[in-house]
Amino acid sequence: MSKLSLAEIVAKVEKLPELPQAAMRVSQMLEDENTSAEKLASVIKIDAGLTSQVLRLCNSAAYGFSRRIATVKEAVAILGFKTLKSMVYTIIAKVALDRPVPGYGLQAGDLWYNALTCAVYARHIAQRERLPDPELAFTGGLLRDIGKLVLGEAVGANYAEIEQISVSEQIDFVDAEERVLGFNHSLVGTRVAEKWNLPPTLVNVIKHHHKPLNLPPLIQPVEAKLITIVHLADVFTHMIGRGNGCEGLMYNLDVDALHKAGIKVNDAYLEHMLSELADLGHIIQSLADSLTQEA
Amino acid sequence: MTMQQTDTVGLGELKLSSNKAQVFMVPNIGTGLAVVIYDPVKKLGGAAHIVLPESAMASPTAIPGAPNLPAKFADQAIPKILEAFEQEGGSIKNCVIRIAGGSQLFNFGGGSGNILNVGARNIAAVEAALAQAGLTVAKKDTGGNKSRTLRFVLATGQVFVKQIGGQEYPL
Repeated sequence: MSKLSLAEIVAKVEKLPELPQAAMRVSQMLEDENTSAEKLASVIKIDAGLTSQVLRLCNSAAYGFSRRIATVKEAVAILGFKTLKSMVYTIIAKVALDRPVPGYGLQAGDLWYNALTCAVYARHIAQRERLPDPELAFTGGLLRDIGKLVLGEAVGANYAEIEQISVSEQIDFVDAEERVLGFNHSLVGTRVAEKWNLPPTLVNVIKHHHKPLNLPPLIQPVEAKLITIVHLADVFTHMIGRGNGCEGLMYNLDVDALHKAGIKVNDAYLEHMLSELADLGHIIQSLADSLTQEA
Repeated sequence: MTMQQTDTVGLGELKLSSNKAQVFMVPNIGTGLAVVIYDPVKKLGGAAHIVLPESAMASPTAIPGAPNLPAKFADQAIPKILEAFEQEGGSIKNCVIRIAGGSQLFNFGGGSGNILNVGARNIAAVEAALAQAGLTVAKKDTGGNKSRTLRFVLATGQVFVKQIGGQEYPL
């Protein structure tokens, strides 16, 4: 198969399923610092499905509130905009990602569980690293691989060649994708992110999560650290996480990028972190369960 | 015909059964290691999903609400598996042990080499802990760069391994 053209990629991106409109509108309102809590609550309440999903997530063990949250108004007040935003993106991501992607060997649910795993891991690392907005790391981890939705078919048709290059040269699977197809799932993911009007920070996380070392100079240090944390969470997800694809662990961890971003990693740090992340399974399951229940 | 009863063995979990209808699934085995123990005479056994080699390297930071994961560390998991297996009625003398997993990332760049080898270290730690009990691994499917899923059928003692995207094969 010859390399994919940009027009082919754009056409595939256009064919992606529509995302839930109410949740997308709320996510965009949450990007606007002038949005009031009252306005936000009133928009969420109009959509019964979104209201029910927000309340189920709020009341899941993943958030651990001591009392039951019964109304959207309460939810907005108690969660704050940052947490509410990551929650709304979780609802959007389920619609987008809970589907099979055969080219990567992903059955229904795999990409969704993998995204939730990376999200929870990224947030945990961000909290440990005192990133100002760990919820943004959650959302970055959640959406990092949306390009796989578009690239799956092409990867499937060329899998043997991509794997052969990746394994024989010990290069990241994304680099082998690019070599064979002309695009990789990070680059294609940015196209998807733009179609879905995701904010620029998330577009950058999606674009650079496999290559966090040489970032464009316009990216500020705090954003570089965010991207690098999602990179680390992605690698840990490949190591111990749920729903990995057939490319498995054909990736590298860029320790130089971690150091450059100010994350002081060594053997003990990485092993302790892996030990902590292995204990987060109940959080991931609780998030998944709360969106699987009937409304 | 007895209905099969399938149970998933998650990260750090250890499950044993003497129910012949029992099937254990160990999904998402990456750098971790699935350990299966089986008594072919009594047709009982169990499976565990080990995450890390040494409990001495456990993080000092506890995760609130985290469940107890008895098989998280290889050095603690193996004695616990053997003890539970004997309590269930299994014979250490007759037991057959099979392992699968221990995959590797390509590299960990920048010289952080120890965690790079976590898959290989898990295998070594399990084999060392078994050796202390005078046991060896009968069959293994380890290493490489892919995630695996393991299926253990107690009624027959058969273990099947699948690499993601591939076909299941007997171990």
